[in-house]
Amino acid sequence: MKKITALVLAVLMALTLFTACGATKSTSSSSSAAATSSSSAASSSAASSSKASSSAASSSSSEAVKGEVTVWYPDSWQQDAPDFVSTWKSQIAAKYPDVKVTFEEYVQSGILEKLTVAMATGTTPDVFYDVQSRISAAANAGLLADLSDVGSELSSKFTGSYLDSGKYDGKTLYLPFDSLNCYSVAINMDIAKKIGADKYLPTDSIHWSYDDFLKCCELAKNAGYYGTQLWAGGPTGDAAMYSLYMTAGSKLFSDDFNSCTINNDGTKKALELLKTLIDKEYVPAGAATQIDYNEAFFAEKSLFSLPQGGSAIIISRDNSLKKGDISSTFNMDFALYPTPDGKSEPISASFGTNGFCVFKNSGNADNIAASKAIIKLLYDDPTAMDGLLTTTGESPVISTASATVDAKYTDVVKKGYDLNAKYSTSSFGIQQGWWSDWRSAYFPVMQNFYSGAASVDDTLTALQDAGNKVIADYKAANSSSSSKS
Amino acid sequence: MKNTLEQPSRGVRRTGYKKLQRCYSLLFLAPWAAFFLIFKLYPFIYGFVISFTNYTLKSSSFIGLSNYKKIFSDSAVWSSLRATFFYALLCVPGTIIIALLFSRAIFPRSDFYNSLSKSILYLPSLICSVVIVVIVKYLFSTSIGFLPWLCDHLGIKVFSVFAKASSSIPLMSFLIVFLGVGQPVVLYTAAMGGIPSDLYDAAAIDGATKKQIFYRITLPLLRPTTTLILVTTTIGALQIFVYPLLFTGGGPYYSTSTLMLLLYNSAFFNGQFGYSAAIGVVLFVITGILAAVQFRMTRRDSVEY
Repeated sequence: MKKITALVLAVLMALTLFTACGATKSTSSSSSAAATSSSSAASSSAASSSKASSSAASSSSSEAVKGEVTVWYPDSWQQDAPDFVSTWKSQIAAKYPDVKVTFEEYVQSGILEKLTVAMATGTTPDVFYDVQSRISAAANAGLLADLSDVGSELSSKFTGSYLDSGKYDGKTLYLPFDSLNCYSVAINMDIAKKIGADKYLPTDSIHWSYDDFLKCCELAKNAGYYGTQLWAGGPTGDAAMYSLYMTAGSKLFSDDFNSCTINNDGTKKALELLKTLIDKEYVPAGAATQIDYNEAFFAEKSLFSLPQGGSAIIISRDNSLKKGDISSTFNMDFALYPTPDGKSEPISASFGTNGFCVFKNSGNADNIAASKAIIKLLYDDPTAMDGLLTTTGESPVISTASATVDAKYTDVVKKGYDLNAKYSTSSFGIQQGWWSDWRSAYFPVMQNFYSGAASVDDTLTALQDAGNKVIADYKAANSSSSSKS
Repeated sequence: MKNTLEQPSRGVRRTGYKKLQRCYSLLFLAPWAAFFLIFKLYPFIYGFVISFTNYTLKSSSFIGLSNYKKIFSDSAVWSSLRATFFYALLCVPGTIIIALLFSRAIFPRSDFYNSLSKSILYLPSLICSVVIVVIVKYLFSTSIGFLPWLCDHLGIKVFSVFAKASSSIPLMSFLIVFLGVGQPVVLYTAAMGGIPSDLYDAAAIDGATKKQIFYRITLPLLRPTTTLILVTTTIGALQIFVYPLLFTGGGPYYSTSTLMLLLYNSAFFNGQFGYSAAIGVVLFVITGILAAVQFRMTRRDSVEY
């Protein structure tokens, strides 16, 4: 009896090893759901059998659209737009009842690794929503489905050049959904008024000088606060620095993005400003390894926070307050970055847009068609889009969308839209295939700078060398590409 | 008269029984063997193979030793290697010495005290290291942390512990030792329990002091356990990952990064899987050499008593 029991146990143990093998698309969706928190609004049948393949041509008519689609969306939706997913689900259920959609929430801070692993292992979702710079890697790796047909159908709706921004080698691989506010400086107005710094703030939120900025920081320090916080510990928030460099007259890369041109007077002035902040202790110590750039600001210990997204940060903060995630209720405003002379026009980096892409995966025509159809729904009936824009403060990309913001946000959202339209740029390299590598190279150089190990001139040289190396390595790696084994 | 029928049946039963035993043993080994082959050996061989390619998201082609040449010319690798050895130099002797001291203190006590102490010492290893990191980070944060606030109020100049390798690595090493000392203590106390008390009695009769007994009898007899702890702690120290990732991100400029963290960043941030695999192979070679050296250095004739 004992031997039989032991035998059975051994066999069962051996079998359990193989239960996770041979993952189908739906199974891998479930396993990735274990690593992220699934939305409570996720549709059912996440672990259904493998999707049927079909050789039929894709069709946009509701009768023909069928398939199983997995959508990855950011956790910020649950905070800033909790009804977005449920509204979208209702739209899908009404128009495409034969499309089974699984919604999976991902944590934004960890999406880069998650997406890289998914792309390397072939476990990408069907539909992915994120900022364009992260999608560029997938586009350049040839993993995305061509959305030109959807783009053509929707082209009359898009304003400006938003639709064109999603083109790679002439094909639409990415559909913008909402336009991000450009980066700006968030201001704790309670502290500013208390210490008398408000008179040095720009009255138009646009034009102020480095001297004004430093004066505010000095007043903050004298009153026991920090001026702002610097960070270089992790690859986030760097667009604030690029804004600072470009606002000072710098050009990061050449127009054709074949070389790095960051070593110039503009960047030098910006780096000297940053060095002053550190030398005069206007910022907390340890910038070289600081990862969280909001720490001091939301603890109400800092006057400014550098990498913030205009009106979106104010609305997002209020959303967090309502949810009870934070308790800071200070009055907040924002302004563009100071310029060296206070008269020049600032240039603020925007990561462009958030939007959708569709991964080819196994090339299942039904699933690709279904993915396109459910994305197109959001543009044909912008109810869900309006809701997202209302609760996030981001700008619309189509003429038929409109955000009905709370009356208390009207002015600040309008200010965000206006500043965005006039002063933002996303043409500083985020669409390039090497952009992620550049960010990985940028932060270590800045760590050396913030720790005092490198001077301003050394840092300028190191940044430019790093940028040129990244571009050269990328070109070398892509010059003789063979198909993956 | 010899029963010629019995002997052949006994022989057959023995042979059959041995075969059955062998079958059972293979069957019991099968799950572990399958796990090892699929999840350890195959990835290891595959990683070794792709270390000779420029395996990226877009393409993969054979490039020979280019990744290895790049490793030896990459300043980030050398910085990470220095930091890795810095961690090992602090963690390995720290773990052994502290574990020995704890074991020496608790072993002679009562069973209840022994068990309680070992449980308390083992508890930290059950706490998720991420939780520890978050707590310690907030404690030492220069903008909102309690300790910098206290320093500021005491008139002590506030500095960031995590801004330099010379302060952040010792702090992280202290946490690693503190969280990991439980298991070595358990091993040491178990080994101490295996030393016959006659030796201690004889030494006491000969007038040996407690210190002499510990250094001349206990410590040499703990050599096999010390070797085990030395090798496993060294391997663990060379693969430190979570603490530098969450505390400093490996900065400033890779001075607190380990090879494991560099491997991770190369793969999952830069998408350079081939280069990352090459780093893994180099780490494997370093670990193997160190382990072999340690085994050789601690090998002695076994002590019989």
